[in-house]
Amino acid sequence: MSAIRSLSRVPLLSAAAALTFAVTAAILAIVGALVWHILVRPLPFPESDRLLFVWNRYGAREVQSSALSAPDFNDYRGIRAFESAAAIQTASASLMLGEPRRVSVARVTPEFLRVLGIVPIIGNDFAPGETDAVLLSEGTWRNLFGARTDIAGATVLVDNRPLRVAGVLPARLAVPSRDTELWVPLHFTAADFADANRGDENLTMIARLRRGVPVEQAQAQIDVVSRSVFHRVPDRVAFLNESRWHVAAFGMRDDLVRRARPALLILLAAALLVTLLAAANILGLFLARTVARQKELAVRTALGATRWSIARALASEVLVLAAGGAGVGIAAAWLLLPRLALSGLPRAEEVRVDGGVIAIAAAIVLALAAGIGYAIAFWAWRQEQSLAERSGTGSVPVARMRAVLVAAQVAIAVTLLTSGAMLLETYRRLRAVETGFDPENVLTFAVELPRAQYEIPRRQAFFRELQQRLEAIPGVVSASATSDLPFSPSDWNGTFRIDGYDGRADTPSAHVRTVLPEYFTTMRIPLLRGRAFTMRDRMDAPRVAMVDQAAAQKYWPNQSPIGKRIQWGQTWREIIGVVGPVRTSSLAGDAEPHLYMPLLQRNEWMLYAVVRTEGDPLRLAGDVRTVVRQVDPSRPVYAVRTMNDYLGDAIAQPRLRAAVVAASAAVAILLAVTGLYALLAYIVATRTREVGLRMALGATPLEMVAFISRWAVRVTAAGIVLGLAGAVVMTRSMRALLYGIDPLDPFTYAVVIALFAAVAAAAGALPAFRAARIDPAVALRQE
Amino acid sequence: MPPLIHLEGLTKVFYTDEIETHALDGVHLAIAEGEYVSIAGPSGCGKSTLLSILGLLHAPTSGEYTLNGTPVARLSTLERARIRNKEVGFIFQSFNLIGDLTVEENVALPLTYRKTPTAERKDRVQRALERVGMLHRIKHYPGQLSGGQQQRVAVARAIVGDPSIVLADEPTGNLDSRNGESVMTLLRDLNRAGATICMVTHDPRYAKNADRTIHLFDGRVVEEERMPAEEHELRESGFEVG
Repeated sequence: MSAIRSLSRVPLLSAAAALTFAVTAAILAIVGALVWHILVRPLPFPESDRLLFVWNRYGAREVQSSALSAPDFNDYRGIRAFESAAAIQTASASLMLGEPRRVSVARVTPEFLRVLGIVPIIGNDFAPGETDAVLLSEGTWRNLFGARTDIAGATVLVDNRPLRVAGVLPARLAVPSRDTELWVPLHFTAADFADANRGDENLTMIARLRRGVPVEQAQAQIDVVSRSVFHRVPDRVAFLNESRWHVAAFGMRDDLVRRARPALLILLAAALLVTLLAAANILGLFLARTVARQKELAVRTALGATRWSIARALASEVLVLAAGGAGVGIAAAWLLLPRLALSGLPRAEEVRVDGGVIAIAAAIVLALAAGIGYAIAFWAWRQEQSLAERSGTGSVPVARMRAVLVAAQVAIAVTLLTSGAMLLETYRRLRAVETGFDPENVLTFAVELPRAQYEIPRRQAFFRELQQRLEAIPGVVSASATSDLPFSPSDWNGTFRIDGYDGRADTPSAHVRTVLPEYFTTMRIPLLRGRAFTMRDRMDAPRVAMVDQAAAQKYWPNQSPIGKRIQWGQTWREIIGVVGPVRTSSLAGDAEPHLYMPLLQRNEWMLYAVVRTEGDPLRLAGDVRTVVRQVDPSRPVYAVRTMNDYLGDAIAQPRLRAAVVAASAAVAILLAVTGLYALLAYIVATRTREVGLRMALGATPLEMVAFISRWAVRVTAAGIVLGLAGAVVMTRSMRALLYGIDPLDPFTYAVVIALFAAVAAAAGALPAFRAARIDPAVALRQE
Repeated sequence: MPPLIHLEGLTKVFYTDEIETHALDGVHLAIAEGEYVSIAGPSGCGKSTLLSILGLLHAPTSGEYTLNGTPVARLSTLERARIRNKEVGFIFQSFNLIGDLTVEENVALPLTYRKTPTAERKDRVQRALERVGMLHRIKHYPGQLSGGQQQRVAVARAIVGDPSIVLADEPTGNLDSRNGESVMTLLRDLNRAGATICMVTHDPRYAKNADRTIHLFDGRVVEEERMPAEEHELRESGFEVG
């Protein structure tokens, strides 16, 4: 109670400190929730540290993780280190519930649930050998089936096939993704495991290690099997060697969060720096308050208070404010976190401010407060001891200590600002990257045709008719379709042969796209040479292909690829045209080679339509659904998005990183500036008599402005120097996250220095001019 | 020879919250060069206000003030600061030394604001400290000195710039009688060496040290008391006058 009463006498200071504690607690709670639930907490499966992903990796191609083929899976599933292993194949299907509804499906081998250690919350796993069954996600069961308790055994129509509902899987099962709505059985035949299928990499392999077996042991066994593959596929040896192929096992959690880890670690570093900064700020505030209370503390000591009891009293004031601030901050984090756009992060559905997060955030804030409280108490004791050795202007050591604290705050803010500026510049440059196509006013959506009902001619007729009807919609400029959209999650990367290729370079490979005529016109990809595909490039016409400029330069340097032949699969094709280079998977780095083939000569059952519109493309979303229904009422339309949405996804991680660090930098600047202002105001307040004296001795008001400003300049300069050193370390450590900007970019550093100089000048101006207006006669009468 | 300080009908009115306070009300005063004047009077009579106007810390509301031949009543803040630095030395009751500056740096302050070259500054500081007997403490900090020693350093600071007049505001107020006497002797010696001194004190023992005592009451000069000629002669001959 005495602490509250004492604090109520300094409401502004109390409010400032409590607010700083609240902001710190909120940041710690939000960042703590992200880091704890995404990076640290085990996956929600029993003994999840034994779970692995197994991927093909191609070291020469910067392909981090590539799926496995069925024969690959067959090679590795029997490894001794694995207790069990399963394969997953993602797909989509049409679920008929009155009207067709596109759902995300995972085809899984029978060991799937056993590997993860999951049991259905309703019903059972698939029966042995069962093919016509389905497991529902808890979300699908609740949203589409009204959480019917008798769902097990019911029949649902998936792609017009009746499937028995075997059970419902718990919500925490986000494998292969949190969007998965149905799981259906995947059974292989001996033919699936033929070596000829090794190029068909479309399986995600998961495995559970035997208890006590380290992942390194599993990797060693995988390596042994991998080496044997070379002997079985002599025709692929050159490709596998050139692409530095290997198979790697990764801990499931680490693999899931690998891409998000750098952003989260930067976020954590930024949060810890802001916490340090806040601590320095509060320490500065309480040092000033303790100076003002020296007489009171002396009286307490004279009346018999022990050093320990005074320390406890001082610490309890800080703790009271910290407790109040932490409560408000954590509550704010609890309210704010669900409103943050975390969809780009793995395990986002698990992130929440729970008991553990609250405990961590509160513990850090309270420990910080206790540290600050006892540091102040220790300082007050030292001050009392050494008071006799100095003159009456006892504020000087405090001012110096506060100056050190403010310099530290400026340093932290400079480090964060420099890092944030570089991440923002990275984001800006990524946004400005020339993609090779025009993403403005382009609506996209996906349509999938069931293979059983759509023979090849019918499929091609469907897509042709769809294109014609889309182009007929008022407001549509042109329409086409492609097997994979730039920056969409799916990408098809394949190898091909070039007629007469001397083989000195590596095996030709490219992003492969099957497109309808008018694709290049619709996407505004320029035709550089030759001709584009037309409706005449059908099955009965000579097989043709197109390449982009990146492929032309790489595989046909100093010559035209027009008229040259490539072999894709078993078919030789003549190159008829060259289009401009496009970026399809990454905005950073050089454009990669692309190979285009005409849809009417290919066997595709799923395409993305691209529709260029005159205005806002989403305005026509309803019209395109109507058109698809007109062509086939049973075909659901899904993934209705603009091309800009896909581009937005491509820069979501850089945007998140830039936003997080920039926001931290903004908080840091605010705290540093208020710290600097408070320091200068304190100096002016405690040195009024000195200012008056100096003026009495002939100092002009301008010299007094300079006298106070010197503090600001020294503190800011020291902080900037330290901060720049910190920024060099931080920006170099995040070099991999930067694009188009050097970690030592002099312009960024110059702007940061100029900005801080300006901010410091603004923060120092008011106290300095207040000093200049001091009436020396009045100041000299002050005691 | 014109007086060093000449005040003509000087008034000072302070305005606060609709209240007018007439601190000085038509003060006429002349102080000759080399004179030692003390200003006495009860609390609130305007002594400190008069001293702050003499020291150019405040401007008068009306009236004329001529310092060393220059009219200074209506100068800007900047001009007052410049003249104050050159013409006025201050000694305060509470010494007003700056705690984190050494004795040398404290004494040098007026010269610093005058932008005196370093070598000359050091030389003048040493001479000033020598005059007050504090040269041996030149590198000390104020906190390491006794009250009497601190006031001696303050006197050195007041005279280091060779001002036209030294203004002393209750210079013995914070000192015991022994140190008080010592500081008074120091001022007397400075006066004998040619310094013009104007001292505010309410202690009649110390007021008698001056050649002339001016009594203020309600912002007016109500009485002037000159030291008898024989006492003055005795003192000039080096005898203490009780």
